[in-house]
Amino acid sequence: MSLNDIFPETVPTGYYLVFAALLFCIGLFGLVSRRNAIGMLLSIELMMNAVNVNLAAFSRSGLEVGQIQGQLLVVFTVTVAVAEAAVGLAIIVAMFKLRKTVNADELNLLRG
Amino acid sequence: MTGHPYLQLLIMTVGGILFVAAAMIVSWLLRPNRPSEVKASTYECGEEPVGSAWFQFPAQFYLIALLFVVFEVEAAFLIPWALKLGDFLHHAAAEGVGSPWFVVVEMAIFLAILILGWVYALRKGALEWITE
Amino acid sequence: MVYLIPEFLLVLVGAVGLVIAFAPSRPRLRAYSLVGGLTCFGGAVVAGYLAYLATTDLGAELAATAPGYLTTTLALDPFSRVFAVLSLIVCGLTFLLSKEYLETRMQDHQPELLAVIAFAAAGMSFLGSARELITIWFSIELLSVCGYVLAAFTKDDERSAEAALKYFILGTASSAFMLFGLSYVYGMTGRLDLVGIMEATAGDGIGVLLPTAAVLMLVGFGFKVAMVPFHMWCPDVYEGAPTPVTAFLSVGPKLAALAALARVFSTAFPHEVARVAWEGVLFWGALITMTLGNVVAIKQSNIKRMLAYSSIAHAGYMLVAVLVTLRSDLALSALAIYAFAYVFMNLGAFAVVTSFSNRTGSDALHSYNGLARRSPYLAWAWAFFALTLVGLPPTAGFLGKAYIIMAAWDAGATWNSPMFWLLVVLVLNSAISLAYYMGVAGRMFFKPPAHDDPVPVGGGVGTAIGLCLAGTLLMVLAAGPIIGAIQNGAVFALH
Repeated sequence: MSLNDIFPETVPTGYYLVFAALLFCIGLFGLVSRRNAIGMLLSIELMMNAVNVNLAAFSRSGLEVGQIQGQLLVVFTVTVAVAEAAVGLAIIVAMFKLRKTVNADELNLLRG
Repeated sequence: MTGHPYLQLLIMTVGGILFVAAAMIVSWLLRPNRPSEVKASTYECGEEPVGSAWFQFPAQFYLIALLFVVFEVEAAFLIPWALKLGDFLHHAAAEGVGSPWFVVVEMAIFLAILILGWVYALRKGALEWITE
Repeated sequence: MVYLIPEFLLVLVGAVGLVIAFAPSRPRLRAYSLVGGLTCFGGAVVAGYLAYLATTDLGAELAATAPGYLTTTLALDPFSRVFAVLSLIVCGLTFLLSKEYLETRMQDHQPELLAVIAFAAAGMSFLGSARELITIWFSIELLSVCGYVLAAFTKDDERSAEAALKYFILGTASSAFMLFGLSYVYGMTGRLDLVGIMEATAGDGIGVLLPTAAVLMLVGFGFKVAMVPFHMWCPDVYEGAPTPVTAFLSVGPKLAALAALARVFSTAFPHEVARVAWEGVLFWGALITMTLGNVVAIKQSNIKRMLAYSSIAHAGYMLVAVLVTLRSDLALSALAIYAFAYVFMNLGAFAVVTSFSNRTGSDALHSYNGLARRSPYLAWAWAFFALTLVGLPPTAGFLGKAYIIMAAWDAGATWNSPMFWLLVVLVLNSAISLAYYMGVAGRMFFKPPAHDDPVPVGGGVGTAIGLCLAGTLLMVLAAGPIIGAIQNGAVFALH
């Protein structure tokens, strides 16, 4: 195995995909294991960013040359993620004002 | 220089680490060691901290942050638009296809919606800093 | 551009709401909810005409001359315009039924609530016609982000904040799943328009990743539809959110997501491997969704939670229509008919609940005891909506269920096939739902009330109930044209 096998001259798409999949799983793990609402929000942002890595990688080395749609979608994804984060933070602040906690385990007013 | 393209990067990284380490070791060998109270104090880099940093920030910071984040990201739409605007106007004028004002009007609509949101925040007093 | 009148109207109504919110006052709020509601109903008529136009030659010509940036992102077929009609009707009815709630139960930010509902309805309309993944995803997010804001609207109420937080966390997580699947679809096909994806996956050698990506996307849609096992948010959010908002959330996101689900999966993934995967998931999803929704609804003691589980069950029925889109030409008409009936009967039922809780402040089932004596209008309206929701023969609900069964039958539900047993479960579920809907009606008519104070009905919400009653009755007459519109046009315009 030569140096070029480990560090090829251009990073192959597979590397990006593995990285994105790992990032997504880290986010998912954080979402499941975190009990703090802010932590959960951060984990979801990680998952969204994994998608962005995927899209950018596919856009660069897709089936057709010069695909722009993937990069376009990344811009939209970032924007929407920000809008979601803004709404989410506002909800969390409202929650904290009322309950003095943002712990998901203590959200137990609504039970059937 | 030939070889693997990342080789230069590797050489730079190792060289950088070695240089910093060498400089620190040399200065450690040469300098006298006489610690004192004054030398350990904060200087030039700021003030002595007062109290703990772990206190509750006013919620108004969040409000400003939310507004900032939303408006900041909208710039992501403005930059590609601005870069491509000239091309589009020339293209439309040269080939006579479509109205050159189409892209301008679209961005105007986009900005109008943004400005509506901004005026709303302004009118609701979201940007006024309330001091106790 | 003519085709986009419904969407323009909804965005305009929302924008006007924000301007009114600069300096809110009671007369302005009143005028806004009235004029906004009327605009929506007027727009619904226009959208209905557009749906008819889309089936004619003139409509085909108009669609052919529409600019490319429009037709590549939005389908201007009858199916999409039928959902534009629906979003306008939903918006108008929600405006009417919120009026009294806004005036009596909320201290501030009343015009904003209506404006956000209008924006969400615009998202609903776009989602019904989007034919390209960026547009689809953007419409879903417009609808969901508005939904999070709406659920949190009574910001002094702990339950509202908790509902919104749950909705937000689960909603964004499901969006991330959907987007992750979407990115793989893009990577494998290099296309984002649904037809392009279909063309790119026509050959062999697509591999196992495509069904995986399709199922990941289905998770996102399943959440918006409240398909089991992605339904957990639904009862909590419905209970905690302000009641008019619950009414909107129970129809808006659900129906639009179902329409998009039908369009995305039947257009983009009609080929063998992916199709087997999503049809399999939908089959079991529909089966478990309708059963669980109905069975759990029986045990509820809060009427909003009960209606939440009942809406999960209705989503299950409609998923059957989505399931057979590729096998039967009737499926899309069945979905549209059921959607129409569902809008009127479910919003009607929620209008009764809103009206009652405005005056009594209670959503507990036992507080409905003896309502027939305290407010005959509400009690009889509930009885009627309950019959419709169950789907007993002369009502619109029956019409919807009958069409779904016909579509499934048309798709090849022979004796002892899985589809046949799915239909058996559907009919059995309707029988189960009789228990809890009529249980509430029984409380209203046969149990003694705690006290005899009358429950007055506000003008706006009373009108909304009346319109829903008229809608459910007229549905029986209007079914013909709706089916005609959808059948005559191409199933989905593929040009």
